[in-house]
Parts: sequence; C-alpha cells; structure tokens
Amino acid sequence: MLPLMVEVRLENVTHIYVTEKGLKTVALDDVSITFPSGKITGVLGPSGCGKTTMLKIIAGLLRPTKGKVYFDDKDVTDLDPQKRNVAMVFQFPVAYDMSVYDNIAFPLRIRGVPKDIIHRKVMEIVDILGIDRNILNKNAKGADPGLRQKIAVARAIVRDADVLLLDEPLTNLEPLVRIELKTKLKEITQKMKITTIYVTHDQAEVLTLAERIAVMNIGKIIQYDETTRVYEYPIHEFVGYFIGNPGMNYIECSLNEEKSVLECKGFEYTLNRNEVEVLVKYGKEFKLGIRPEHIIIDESKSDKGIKGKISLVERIGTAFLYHVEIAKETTIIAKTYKQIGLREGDTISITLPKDKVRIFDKKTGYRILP
Amino acid sequence: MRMKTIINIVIIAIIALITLFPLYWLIITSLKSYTEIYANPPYLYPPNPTLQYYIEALYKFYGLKYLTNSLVIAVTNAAISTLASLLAAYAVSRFNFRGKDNLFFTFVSMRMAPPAIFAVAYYYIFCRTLGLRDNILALIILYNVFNIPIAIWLLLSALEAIPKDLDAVAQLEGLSHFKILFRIHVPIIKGTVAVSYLLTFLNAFNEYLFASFITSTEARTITTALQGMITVAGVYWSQMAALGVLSALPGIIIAVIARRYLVTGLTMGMV
Repeated sequence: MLPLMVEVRLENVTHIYVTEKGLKTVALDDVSITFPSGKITGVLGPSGCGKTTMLKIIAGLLRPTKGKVYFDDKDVTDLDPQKRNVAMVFQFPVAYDMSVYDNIAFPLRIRGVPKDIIHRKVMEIVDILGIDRNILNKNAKGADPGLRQKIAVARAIVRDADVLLLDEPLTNLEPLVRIELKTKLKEITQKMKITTIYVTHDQAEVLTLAERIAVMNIGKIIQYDETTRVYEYPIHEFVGYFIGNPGMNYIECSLNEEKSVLECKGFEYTLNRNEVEVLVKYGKEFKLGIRPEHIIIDESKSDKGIKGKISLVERIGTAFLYHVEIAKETTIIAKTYKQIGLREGDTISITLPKDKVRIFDKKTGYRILP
Repeated sequence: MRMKTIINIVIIAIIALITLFPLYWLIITSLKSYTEIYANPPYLYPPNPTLQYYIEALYKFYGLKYLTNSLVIAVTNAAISTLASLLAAYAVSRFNFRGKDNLFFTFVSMRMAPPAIFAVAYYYIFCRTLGLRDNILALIILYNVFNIPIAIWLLLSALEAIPKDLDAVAQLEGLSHFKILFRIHVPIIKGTVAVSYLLTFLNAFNEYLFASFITSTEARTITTALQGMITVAGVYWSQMAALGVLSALPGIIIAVIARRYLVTGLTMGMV
C-alpha cells in the first residue's frame, strides 16, 4: 500500500522561544514554504538556523508562535502529533528498550494491525534496510549507533506515514554506515514516494538525496530551488559560501570612474554595457563570486589571466585545492582533479570563466548578475 | 599487590563484624532463655537454642497480627507512593506549567523538617477529623507525605536522563502520555522504579513515630509492638528479640534481592 501523498505547506510561520528569564529568541522568522508531495526536499543551514524548529512544527511537537501549517488543504496547526501521521528520525538514534523486532513492530501494534501483516511488513523492511535477520530477537539497547539508526528508520517507514522528517539522521554515524544508510534512504524514499523533508548541515548528503533544497540562515529561508540552481545561481552570498566544498570565493570589487570595468583586488573584470547598466543602480561596491571548481588554471603559463602565488596546496579526497594569493590579503581557492604538479611558492595564472562569475551586492549580499 | 589484598580483606572483615555483630546478638538473644541472657559471663552462642520465644512472640504477644499490619501498610503505601510519584515526576519532567520549580521544592522541603514537628497536626487530621484512629488506612495515607518526595526525587532524575527525542518519536507514533510513560519510559527506568518501591516500602515498614500515636491495638505495627514488650512487669527480652529478628527480615530479604538494583538503580542505563 502506498501512503497518501501529502503536500506540506507552511504559511508565515514564526516561532519565538522564550526562556525562563523572559529572553526571546526568534527561531523562525515569517517562513512560508511548500514541500511538494512524494518528493525529497533538503533543508540545509548552519547550526541554530531554525531547521529543527521547523521540523518540530511540522511534526506538531511545537506549536508555532504565529502562522499556519497545512497538509494539503487541511490546517493542522493545532493538531496533536499523534494525529498527524508524521514519522521522524532524529540525529541521536532512538530505540526502545525491547527487541529489534518489537521495536520495528511497535508502531503497528499500537494501531492494532493483525499479527501476520505486522510480521510481513517488519520482515520486508528488515530486508530492505539490510538488518541481519539473526539479531531480531536481541535487545536494541545494546546495539551500535548504526543499527539503532536503522531501527529508527525502519520504525519510521513501517507504518506508512504521510510525511517523513529526517533530522540529521546520518550525522552521528561512522563513515561506512553513513554511506550505506544514505544509499538505503535514497532507495526507500524513491520507491515509497513519501513526502520527505531531510534536514542537515552536511551539503554532500542533501545534494545526493534531494531534488530541491531550501537553504536557511538565522530563521529565514534564503533560497529554495532545484538543487542545481541553488548550486549554480546562489541568490545570496551566504548560499554560495554555504553550498560547495569549499564554498564560493568572494573578491571585493568596485566599479571604476569610467564605469567600464570592476576593479578587483589583484585584477580587473571587464563588463559589457548591459551589465554596467544593471550594476550602476546598486552603487559602486560589489563582490565577485566564483566557485573553486570553475576556476581554470593556466598550465601553459601564458601572460593571460590573473597572476598569483600559491600559498598552500591541500588535498580533499581526490581533488587538489590551490590557495592562490592574487593580491595582498586576497586569496582565491582553485579546485582541480588534475595532477598538475604545482607546489607552494610557484607563480601561476588563473582565469575566471565569464559564464561562471556571479556578482553580488556588497551591502546586502544578494546576487545581482547574472 | 598481595599485601594490599590482605589489608583490604582485613578492613572489610572488621567493618562486617561491626555491622553484623548486633544482628548476631539479636538472633542469639531470641534463642536464649531469660536466665541465659543475664548469665555472667555472657554466652556468645545460645546454649539451649529454642524457637519457643518466636511462637510466643507471634501468638501470645500478637506479633503475627502486627507483622501483617506492617506488611499490608508498607506494600500498599509503597505501591501508591511509587505510582503517584511516577506520574508526578513525569509531569515535572515533561510539562511546563506555572510554579513548577516551587512545587518541586515544596515536595522536597517536607523531608527537611523533623517529622515530629507534624505530629500534633497529623494526630488532629487523622484521629479527630478523619476518624481513622487505630486504622491502618491512616498510616497508608500518612506515609505518602514522606515517601512521595523521595520517590519523586529518585524517579525524576531517572526520567530526566531519558532523551526527549524518545518521547517525540513515541508521540508521532501515536502514543498518549500515559502510554509513553508506562510502555516506553518505565521499561527503561525499571531499576529505579524498583529502588523507589523498595525504599518507600522500607520507610513505611520501619516507621515508628507516627505509628506509635495513631495506632493502639487493632492497627498496631511491628515497630510499636516492640516497644510494647517493655512492660511494668518487666522486659520480655527473648520474645522482643524474636520479634526483632522477624521485623528485620523484610529489610534483609530486600537488600539481598535488590542488591544489584540498589547499586545500579541510580546510575541507570539509557537507550
């Protein structure tokens, strides 16, 4: 049986925490967002940006200070969590003090599902998640975090919930288990077509799992779009910096007197007339953004491009990161998978492909071009 | 290393001797006759052990009745106070309500004053107002006043250690608060619940002060019965010792059964 697909909609939701001493913290600030039915949506943001608060409001564990929550067209703002048919998996694996089998069967038993159906469903999910059938009778209390999290996921999906909320489910797991469970989650969510909201601060997880992502910061949704759009066209410099490994490079620039080029630290960036027309409306100060993987390192050592000295070479996985000092206190990071044998101290020239350069307003941080 | 072990054993043996000797003396006294008790030099063992004084204590001095009273009071009271405390601790731990902190302080502060302070008040409440003089019901109710704070304090720290995420998941799975408490939390903290039951049981079973003025004959408890063996006609040492041994038994049995829980109950494991 496929669960009913439900669209989750938040309308002008504000949530304010009040401490005992009367201090107020705004966790969510007038958030409106729609999570499409039957799809995985990622929610990304630094710690304390309000991600978990938003999930708890969707689950009904918190009642928003202001605003409404809708499941399809039904207003569920005041509905108890017990009545929402939402499943949630937390960062810290939650398993009850009972056997692995009982843990997974528990949500169905509560609902009075017949025994043979429970057994069939539990076994089905045990096999999907790759839980060893021999350990089903062991107590979940002593299990390792990886297995406990699998149990938690199994319990969440066994009962055909309308909405699945995942709150950093992989953060506390060992790397190998993390990769395994990530693959399983992708398989399951694609097969089950359940509305899934995946919250994390690890972008690598979200980029592989989600079709659309919402990037949050300080209680607001900064950008909500398809994953590739968020990556290619960050709406705000925060998004460009937060998404990407490492994030976007930013170089401070100002429009010159003749209004023809951007004078950046270490180089000049030529503008065409249309671009200038747009930019002048925003004043003179800008930030030029470029992703490290889009920078082209000129191996021919020609005179073209921006000259700079390599101050540091890093490796992340199979990639190399070159920290290139192009002016005093201005360093650009270039990322490449090619082995080009450059060392710290070498002088190189780099070019910034025009179609990959984004220009942001220095004052507000929002993208202006393109 | 071996030297250290020997010293340890010697120290433990001395402590055990100091702790257990009075108990040993109680037991041999219960088996000795009046003249044997007063013999000089004293016998370190009963020369002619007899169970006669046990029989006398139980039947002639109504020991059986008083023992039953004490057990009924303790079993019932411990059950009531543990259950009530479980609910109260859950509320304090999981809900926010006005005056929560003060409420908890009020509970605990009841334990700080010497119980005798409340004696007159309780005498009026139970004997005059409620008319429960010499009724075991009075003690079953009264002991809650002293047992509930201890049990709340014990259970609250155990409940606080259970992550709130567990409640959240259970709530989303459709469980009411009662079910969360009894089906999810209680299995996790069962050790602490057991400790709470046993401690409140012992408190109720061992209580003397209030039992002595609220009860007289019908509802008399074992602790006050012991006092009753000091009469104008003399002290019935052997029978008193026999009843003493019997009244010490529940505590000893509990300590043996719950040894594991008593040690680990407070440092309970968490899922």
